[in-house]
Amino acid sequence: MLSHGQDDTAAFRREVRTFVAAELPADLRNRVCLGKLLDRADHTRWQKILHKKGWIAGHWPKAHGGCDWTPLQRWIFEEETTEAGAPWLIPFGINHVGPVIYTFGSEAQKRQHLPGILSSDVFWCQGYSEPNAGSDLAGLQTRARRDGDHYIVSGQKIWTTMAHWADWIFCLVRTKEGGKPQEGISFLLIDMRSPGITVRPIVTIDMGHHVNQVFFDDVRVPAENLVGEESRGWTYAKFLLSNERVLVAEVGKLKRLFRQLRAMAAQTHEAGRPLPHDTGFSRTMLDLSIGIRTLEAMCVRQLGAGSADAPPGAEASILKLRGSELMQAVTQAMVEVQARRGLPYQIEALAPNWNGVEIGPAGAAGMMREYLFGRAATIYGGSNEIQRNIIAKMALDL
Amino acid sequence: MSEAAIGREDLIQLRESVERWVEKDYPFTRRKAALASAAGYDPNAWRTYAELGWLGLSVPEAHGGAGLDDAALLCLMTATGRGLLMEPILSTCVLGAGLIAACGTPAQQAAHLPAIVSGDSRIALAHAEPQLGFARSPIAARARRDHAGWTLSGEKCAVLDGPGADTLLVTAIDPDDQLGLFLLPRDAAAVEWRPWRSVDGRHAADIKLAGAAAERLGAGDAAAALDHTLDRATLAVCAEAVGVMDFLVAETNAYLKTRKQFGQALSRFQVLQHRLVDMYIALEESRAMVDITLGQMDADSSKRQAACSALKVQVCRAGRLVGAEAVQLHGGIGMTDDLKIGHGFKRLMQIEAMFGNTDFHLARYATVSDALDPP
Repeated sequence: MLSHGQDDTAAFRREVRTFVAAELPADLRNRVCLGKLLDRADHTRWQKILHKKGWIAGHWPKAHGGCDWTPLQRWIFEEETTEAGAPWLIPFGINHVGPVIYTFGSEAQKRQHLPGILSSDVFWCQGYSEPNAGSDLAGLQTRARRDGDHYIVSGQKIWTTMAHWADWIFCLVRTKEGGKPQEGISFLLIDMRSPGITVRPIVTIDMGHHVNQVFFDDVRVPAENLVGEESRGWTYAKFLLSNERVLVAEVGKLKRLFRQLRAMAAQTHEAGRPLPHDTGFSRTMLDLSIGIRTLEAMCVRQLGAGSADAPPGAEASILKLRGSELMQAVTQAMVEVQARRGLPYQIEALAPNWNGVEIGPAGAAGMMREYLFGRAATIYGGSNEIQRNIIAKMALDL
Repeated sequence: MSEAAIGREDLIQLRESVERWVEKDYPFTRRKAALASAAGYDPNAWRTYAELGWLGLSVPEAHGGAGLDDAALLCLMTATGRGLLMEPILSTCVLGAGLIAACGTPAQQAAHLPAIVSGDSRIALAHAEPQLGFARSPIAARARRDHAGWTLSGEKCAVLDGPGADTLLVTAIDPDDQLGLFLLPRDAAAVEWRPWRSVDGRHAADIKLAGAAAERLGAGDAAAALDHTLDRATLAVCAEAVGVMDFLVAETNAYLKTRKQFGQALSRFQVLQHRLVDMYIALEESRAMVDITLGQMDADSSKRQAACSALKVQVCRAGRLVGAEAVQLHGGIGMTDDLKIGHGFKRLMQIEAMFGNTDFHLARYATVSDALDPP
């Protein structure tokens, strides 16, 4: 743990650590640490524990059910909980649409949506990317045409994480043609039960189902589900994406995976000796360790310096870039461990009811899945190429 | 093994015919069907490989093969990489036929090699052990001999293509502390199977031997022949990797030219051009290393070992770069199981993990060559 030079920060860290040690259910922790697949109920269970404590959305303003945490406190909370093996907090409600609603939404929208987000009774997904609008998000073509008190939405979203669990989707839609592509975009909240919505699963290279295609076929959406002003959606989207990028610097999870990597390597042999004695592998471990320290130093420095409402610019992009690369590097080192056993991998081994025998150290299949699906971390949330463009512009004025 | 040098014209003809077949008759849908099947490969394709003579390219003519030198084998392997073929050519034709031809008695060769050439027999090598990692020794499995013959005890892991093989070639230490190779029928008693699938969908297994009856392949110490065969298999799988990378570079190139973002083709962005250039250079370097290593295979053992380890280091690094960048430059679509890109990425992961990774081969290179001398 790094010292942050502030007693209240250290006290907060201790408080979070004590709480997680006492309240995180052992079976959930065990499954997270083994990289098993969790279902919606597993996530809800942990999120409701946080909700009861009042910490589910600690970074939100107190007025909306949060704790007014500073960015540093929020980061410490994430680090401590994920390092201890808590499930990933599904971000779409709490981190993404929630802040958009309380910042730009109507009073009615706040009343309707914030309680369900805080209680985790309502799950959200994010309708941003489209087949022809990836890195160039502003090129999106899903249209929302005004018809009396409704918008009629038609088009297609893709890479929609957990759309198959979600009750609601927040969508970027085009409400106006012509002008700059960013100018005709609006931010709509859509009930996933609306007639005309079809969710089709996409199987990714880890052989899992996390992402989907979502089709909108003349879906009628009440006009009061528009957030903020029509055609101002791009502003809200940028606000949201900058939040997403900070969260990709998952230092707590990196530390947990690194410890697991060390333990798995100790159970794996090269020429009869445990792998940590192998010169090449130990060099890899040392490099990763320094990488994690460096990322943590960047997080502490940037978050400690900023105030709660400082606009994250190049800093968030640097954290997203390095955080995603480092996650790939740590899990890739685990692939090198399992390579000694021939690289076994079956997604079925990660199902809760699987009763086969795992080849190699416990948790290896989970780490392999992290590696495979983690190849997407440098693609989603604004690809790392886009992050470099942002840094070039914001930090270096290029 | 006596072999005939394949002429330049014949090699070009072979390459064209293999590539044409893979292109036309082994579309991605066929790979996906093989992946989804219980066997994990396509038995009809296997039958066709036998008919086309591919399974006997390197097998001596006396046993029904073509008896060609390994330029022919590498040409075949590169094509199998391009098409991401699922069938166990490497296990059966390089490891299996290679060891049987190198170590088997004339009777054993006559019993097994024609069956390999005709597609009736598939072989898998059971050499790796849980404590061994990538190292090739020391082997812990033991072979004992009594009045009834040889029996084997110990644990073997990562027996690639083992579940679909009819015969395993098992390494074990005999009572004279020599490395023996043993022929073990797939259904032999006293063998406990733990089948699994590798990240690229191949079938493999860990096995426990508890006094399983086996037939010794030839006689005497097989360590040198095994090391040579593992090096030859390394070369073969590197040639396959060249095919995989060739496909990934070509496909990524085509995608960048087609995919438009920000009002222009991705291929117009110089930063992406340079990334593709680096992939291409890694591919071309690997191709050159495969070519030059082929010429070192009959050199003395330390020269051969240095050449093969240098080759594998290059291909591990190139494969990692090309695989990851092919996915990255495709973006989200590169992450899907529906696209061949991810399959190529995972095949390169698997190849990196076969016969030693970068760390293993760097260390081996240091022991077999004076690393500070120019090669």
